[in-house]
Amino acid sequence: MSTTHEVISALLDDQPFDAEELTESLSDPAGRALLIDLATLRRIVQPVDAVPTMRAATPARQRPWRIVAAAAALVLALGGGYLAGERRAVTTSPEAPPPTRVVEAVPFVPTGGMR
Amino acid sequence: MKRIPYVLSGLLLAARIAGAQTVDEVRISVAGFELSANGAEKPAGISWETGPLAVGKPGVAVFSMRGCGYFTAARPPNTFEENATAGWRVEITPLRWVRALDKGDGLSPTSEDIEVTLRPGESRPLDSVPVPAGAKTFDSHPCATKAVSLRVSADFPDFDRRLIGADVWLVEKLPNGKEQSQLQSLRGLPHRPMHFYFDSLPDGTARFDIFGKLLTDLQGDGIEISVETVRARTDPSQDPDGYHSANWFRSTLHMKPNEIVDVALPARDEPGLVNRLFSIRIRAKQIR
Repeated sequence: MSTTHEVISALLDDQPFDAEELTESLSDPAGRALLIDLATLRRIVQPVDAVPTMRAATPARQRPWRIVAAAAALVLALGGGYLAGERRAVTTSPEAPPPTRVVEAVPFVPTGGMR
Repeated sequence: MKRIPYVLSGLLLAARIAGAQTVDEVRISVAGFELSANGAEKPAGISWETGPLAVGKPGVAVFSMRGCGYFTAARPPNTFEENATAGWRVEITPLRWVRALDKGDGLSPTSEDIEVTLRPGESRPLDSVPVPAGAKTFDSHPCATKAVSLRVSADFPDFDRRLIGADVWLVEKLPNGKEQSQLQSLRGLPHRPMHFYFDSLPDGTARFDIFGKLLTDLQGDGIEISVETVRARTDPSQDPDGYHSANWFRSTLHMKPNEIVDVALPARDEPGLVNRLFSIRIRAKQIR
């Protein structure tokens, strides 16, 4: 009996089995009933969706232009941000309040160089 | 800014001696200097200051020099140090000095009664004597000081609790009538320069820097401000660290509390900044 069970299980598990033993087991009505029971049981416990086949990961190929592009984008972002900040520093300071009086400065030439 | 000559003269002050009066905030000081072997002169670490200058109220100090140009100062009735090789008696005001002690080769003149006009920041040498040959330092090393001197100077006090705050804007009047400005907030002592430096202004390939300084003087409930502004042109492609040309402007303002004064910088016939109008706008107050 155990041999009948083993050979039918091996058939269902896709394992190696002896064809003569399987023929002998299936010639027995109890063996055929066991086959039907095991097949039904396995159908019940198997997941509805088949497990997807795992594909071996393939190493990504090096693409030098991507590194160069990323570095260029970084430089552009930093440089653009600096220039934008510099421009904003000049133009967006707090507004000067209106003057209460206006005078004109007098040009002169310093003696002894610039201090 | 108002520049007051401080005349230290026996003759000039004689007429005022009956009613001694304080002259502004200037201090007169006499300090010792040492001339090192390499020719550089540096303070010897001793000075005597008059405090608020009271014209006609003379003060006297006694200076001694010993060893390797080491100075000491004392007030009468103290006299010269015992081991001094040279000694001076200095009187302010009027300004008189006499080298009453000289154990070396005395050089003339050995005394002076001086009429001198000093503005704040200016000084004048009084006397100089060589350090005796063979003089040693405190730790018996050869002396590197060749000579010592006394110098009188006029200046505002270094320690002044009064503090001035000033907001300074660089304002550009745009063709559409609006204004574009940069702000610098400054703090400083009266009579001491408060410097401002605005961001560069691009104009074609050139750049312009506008910078300058304020000098303040508290007067009653107002502030007198001397404004000196420089508009300098640079060409980074030729000299990134220097200026190609510059224009100087100045103005003296008597500002009342809460007043905001616009100091217009006149346009000049110069390349760059054509048709661009700039001014320095100032609001100042005494913080303490």
